[in-house]
Amino acid sequence: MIGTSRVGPLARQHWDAGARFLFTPAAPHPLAIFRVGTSALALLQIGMIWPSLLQLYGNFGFVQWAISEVGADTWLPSIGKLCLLLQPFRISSTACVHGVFAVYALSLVGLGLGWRTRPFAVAAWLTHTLTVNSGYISLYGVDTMIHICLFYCMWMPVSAAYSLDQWLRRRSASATVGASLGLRTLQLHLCIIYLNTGLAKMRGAQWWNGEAIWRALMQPQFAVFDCSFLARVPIVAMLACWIVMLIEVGYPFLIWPRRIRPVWVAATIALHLGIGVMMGLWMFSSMMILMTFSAFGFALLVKPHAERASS
Amino acid sequence: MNPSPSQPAQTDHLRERSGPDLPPPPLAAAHVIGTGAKVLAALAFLHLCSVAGFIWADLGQDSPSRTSIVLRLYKNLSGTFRDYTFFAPSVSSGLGAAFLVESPSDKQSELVNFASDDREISFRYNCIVTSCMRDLRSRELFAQSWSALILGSRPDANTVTVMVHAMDLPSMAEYRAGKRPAWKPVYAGTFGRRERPASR
Repeated sequence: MIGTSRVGPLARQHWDAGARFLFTPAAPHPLAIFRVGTSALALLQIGMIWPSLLQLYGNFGFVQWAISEVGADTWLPSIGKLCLLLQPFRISSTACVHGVFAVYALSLVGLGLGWRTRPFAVAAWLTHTLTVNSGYISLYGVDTMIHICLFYCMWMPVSAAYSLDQWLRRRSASATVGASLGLRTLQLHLCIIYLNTGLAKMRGAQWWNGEAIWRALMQPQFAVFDCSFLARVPIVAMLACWIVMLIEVGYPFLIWPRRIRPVWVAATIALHLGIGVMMGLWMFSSMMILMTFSAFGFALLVKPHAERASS
Repeated sequence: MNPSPSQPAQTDHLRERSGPDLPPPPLAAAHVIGTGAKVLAALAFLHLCSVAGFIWADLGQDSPSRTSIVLRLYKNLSGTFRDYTFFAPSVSSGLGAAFLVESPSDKQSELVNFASDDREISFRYNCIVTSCMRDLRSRELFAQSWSALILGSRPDANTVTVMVHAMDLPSMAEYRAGKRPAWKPVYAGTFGRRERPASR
């Protein structure tokens, strides 16, 4: 088929399978869900941290720019550097922080609605980059995931469905090769993420004897319920650790077979719901659920789009 | 990127053929896979290779070479600045910080927790405390930065004592034997206002 005339039959078979995996047109709806969900969660996050913006990102916040700008690679874009650029216009550092977050929020609204999606995706990613490099000391997993999602929103055809752009141009949300490539990239990236976190856990003794779950649930910053009963039934904590490792390490292998996929998607979502309920990490859990749901789960629920994605 | 005008018809064809008992849909005809799609696929492949390289091979790590700088820039911009090892390989002891704010005027002191009622903000405060206390050499600098914020927000205060504690969490076996979680001090430092030079 695609330039494979000089290779053997087996190689040609693999090449065709690979090409089919990547290039068979896919419906754009999962990527649209990905876009809307990312924007909604990022907006929710801004709403939550807005009252403490200056403490977290300000020039005289808990970590002053004089310190944070030294720690980061000096050529990375940040709010501090933007503020220096805007100094001739007498824009204060406070106004700069609020301005960046306001532009970020507006860009997310545009991205979520799917109106002028590409420019707003670029603006959202760029402003998020500035915030990430200014407040990197206060970042945790959810910020990493939001940044990955915004990066993909710039490149992927995320506005081909459920968007104002699509509605205004009166285009049908038909399957495209671009959507397929986008979806496959997201799927493979998720496999790398889960494989890495699963393997890292397997290297720690705490994850084999159950101490990791015990420690996580008993830490004051994560404790939602009193889980001290686990000390009396350590087998529960140990089994929970093993299940977490199984889900994460199994993800890149068992999310692909058509018959096991619903089980693995459900198990992954259950894992993150558990993290949300037991540790209060709702923003992080929601982002991870969104990513797995749009990459693998949406096609299972919505049949018209399911056929292609599960092939 | 976009399929040829014949694409919708082909999609319908795929939908008709697909199903659990049918063979996988045929690969789109070679002419549909344009150069653009192949270039995009190659870029996506390179991107995923870089993600894997950043995680597993420390690609672009702490080297002053131009290639490393470009790789680090890409790493930062694409969101691969963390290695996704959440709570692994082990769950470390949580840290907590508080400030003892003293005001000379009313001779009172107040204990302010470095925490928030909002969990989302509290997680971030915890990240700040953990990151700042990790390196013994920089602890003083960060504690100074925190106290500057507290003193700035309380004009009546003249000194702030920064106290950081680590949670000493017993193992499950120790807990059964009667040991209970306790806070252990890891850092304490007092910072005051600097005398302002007289204005001219």
